Amino acid sequence: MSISDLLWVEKYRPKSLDEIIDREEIVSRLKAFVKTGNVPNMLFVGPPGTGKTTAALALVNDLYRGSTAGNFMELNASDERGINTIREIVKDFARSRPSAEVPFKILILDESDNMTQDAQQALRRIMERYASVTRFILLANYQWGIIEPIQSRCAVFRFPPLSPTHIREGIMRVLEKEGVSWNEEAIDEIVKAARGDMRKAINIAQSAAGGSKKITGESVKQVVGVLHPKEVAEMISEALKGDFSSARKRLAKLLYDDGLSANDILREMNSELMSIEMDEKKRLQVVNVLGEANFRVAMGADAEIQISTVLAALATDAQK
Amino acid sequence: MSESKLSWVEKYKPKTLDEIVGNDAAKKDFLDWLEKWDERGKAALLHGPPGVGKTVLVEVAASTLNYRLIETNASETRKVDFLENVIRPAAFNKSLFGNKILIFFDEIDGLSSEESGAISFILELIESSRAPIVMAANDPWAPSLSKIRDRVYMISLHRIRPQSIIKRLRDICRAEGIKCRQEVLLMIAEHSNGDMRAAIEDLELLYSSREDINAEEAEKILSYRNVERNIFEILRAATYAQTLEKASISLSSSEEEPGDLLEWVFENIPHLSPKQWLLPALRYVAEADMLFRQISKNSLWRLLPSFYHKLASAFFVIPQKTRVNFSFPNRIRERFRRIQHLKELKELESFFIRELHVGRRVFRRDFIQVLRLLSKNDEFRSKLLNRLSDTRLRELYDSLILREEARRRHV
Repeated sequence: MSISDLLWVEKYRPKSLDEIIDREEIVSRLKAFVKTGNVPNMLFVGPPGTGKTTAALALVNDLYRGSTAGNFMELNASDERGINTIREIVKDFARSRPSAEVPFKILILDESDNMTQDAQQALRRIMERYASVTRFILLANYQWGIIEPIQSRCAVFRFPPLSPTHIREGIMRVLEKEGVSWNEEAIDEIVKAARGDMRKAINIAQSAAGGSKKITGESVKQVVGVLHPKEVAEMISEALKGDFSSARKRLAKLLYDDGLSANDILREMNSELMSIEMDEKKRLQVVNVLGEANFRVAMGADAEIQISTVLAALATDAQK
Repeated sequence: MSESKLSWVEKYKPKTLDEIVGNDAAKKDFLDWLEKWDERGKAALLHGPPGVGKTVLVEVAASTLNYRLIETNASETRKVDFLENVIRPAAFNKSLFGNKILIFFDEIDGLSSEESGAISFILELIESSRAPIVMAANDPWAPSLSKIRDRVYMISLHRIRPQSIIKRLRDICRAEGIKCRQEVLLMIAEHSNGDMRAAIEDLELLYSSREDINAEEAEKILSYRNVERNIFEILRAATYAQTLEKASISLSSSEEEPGDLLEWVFENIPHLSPKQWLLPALRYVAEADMLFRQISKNSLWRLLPSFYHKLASAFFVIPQKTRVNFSFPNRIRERFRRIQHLKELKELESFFIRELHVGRRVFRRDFIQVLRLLSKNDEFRSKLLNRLSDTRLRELYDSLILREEARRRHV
């Protein structure tokens, strides 16, 4: 049985393009595609929680009027099955004929900027070869992570972070439907923590309500403290105090118990580093080491070894 | 990795003579000597393979017979000022408080023939000391000990029999509340080659996660052990090498695979390094890591010497090292548990990511904590449990989401 009504993000995910209230420009173009019954290959670019998946799913739903079976597939490029398997799956799906009532099938490929250049070249060939039967919607955080030839074959849609007003409206709509009351402070806190990420905003709202019918600034703050990877902040402050071995243990926990990606940890560390009090010379040194670690992890080096150099930089006094 | 926790070897160290397993004849011999030491010669040398209880026997005998033990290891014995300032006064001290003193030179075969200062000091001490002197060595026939050998009462200790080792291991398992299989204990005992300390270390290595383990898994883990005796020597050599080249040569002589050697160095550098040198040292380790990934990915094995150089530099950049006992890499110890954990996480995730239209990375980052929070609510929890179709999923939800949350609150 489905769990989609248990989590608000899924329960209130717009099912049709008509239900998407912001993103007017994108939505109107997508609607035009549905109307003419012709959909180009598309690239949706933007940070997490900005509606890329939602828009893609809504488009598919409107286009096929709910009967998507067999004509639509959703894949994640960072799937652990490996890029070769993904390539096979994509190929198998792309070359099979669509069912009689639709002109073409749609494949949504999430996190496609995580594919290697080689894999993207292969994807490009598949896109060309089976253009008559399959259209692609590629989702990515960064446009420059997608090779030029693919970009030029796609209609590119940008999904910037949602404005505070939109987050505010979205949250209030969900709370109203759930019959949960709120005060202004609660909404302010959610908007602040969400930073333009609607998924985060709704998750915070649901966690703060926690089954009750009311959220307050206090309950939101509490939840944000737990959800927001506080572990990262604590790891940094332990390292700063010079307690390298505790910081190292926490790092192992984040990586292996929570299974967080090195990238997410490093990004969090980076934003944390910018906001805490620190000697500027030292900040410079730490940020340098962090950049190095980030690069090496991307090149396939070991996350724990590389990130622990950042912890060591935090634990050491700045080199004069 | 936790430094505050006692290793099992420490925790279950014998405290009474009866608890010392095996070598009954040697035990009796040593106690007899210690009672009549001034008649039978001032010095005794306990010799035998590692882990048969030489050090423990001296320590327990001293405390049983009310001796104050002045104990030194090989690296302290090398330092003449330590000998002069600590050992000499102790040897001639007329005990003020009625404490008898026992002087103990452990690992005496660690001295090389060039370190004649220490050896002549000991020889002189044997002549004139007012306190009994005990020494311990693995190899009593080491050339450096030739002069000492003639002046001491030799007591030989033998490897511990497998049955005795198994019995001891079983006692420890009972005390730790661990369920262990007979065939695994047998494997440890055989593997240890009569070395009780190694056997207990192996036991801890296998059961530190407190989970049942079968003979096949045990064998895999223990295969790391085969080369481990050697690795301690290699790390020690790299730590105290006088030149970068010597450090590098000694590291490259390791029988460990380069990847595992990297683990040993990564584990131990932070223990060895005072804080001010930690960053440069770890940066070399990180460079070695990067290099190693490139080497193995592209089969650039001719670059391996540079890898050893980087690792050696990590040691070399620390001018003054903290004295430590090298530790077995936590990451190797935990490897199996972590793979298992990740497998379970993926199994549980597979259900959720389909429903939520997100990838694993996003699920871990944005949803796991949310699920933990929401699951505190009884209604949410029972609804979710209802939706989880099979028992396996419910089990995983229970262990990864519910109990993890409780555990965190507890900590």
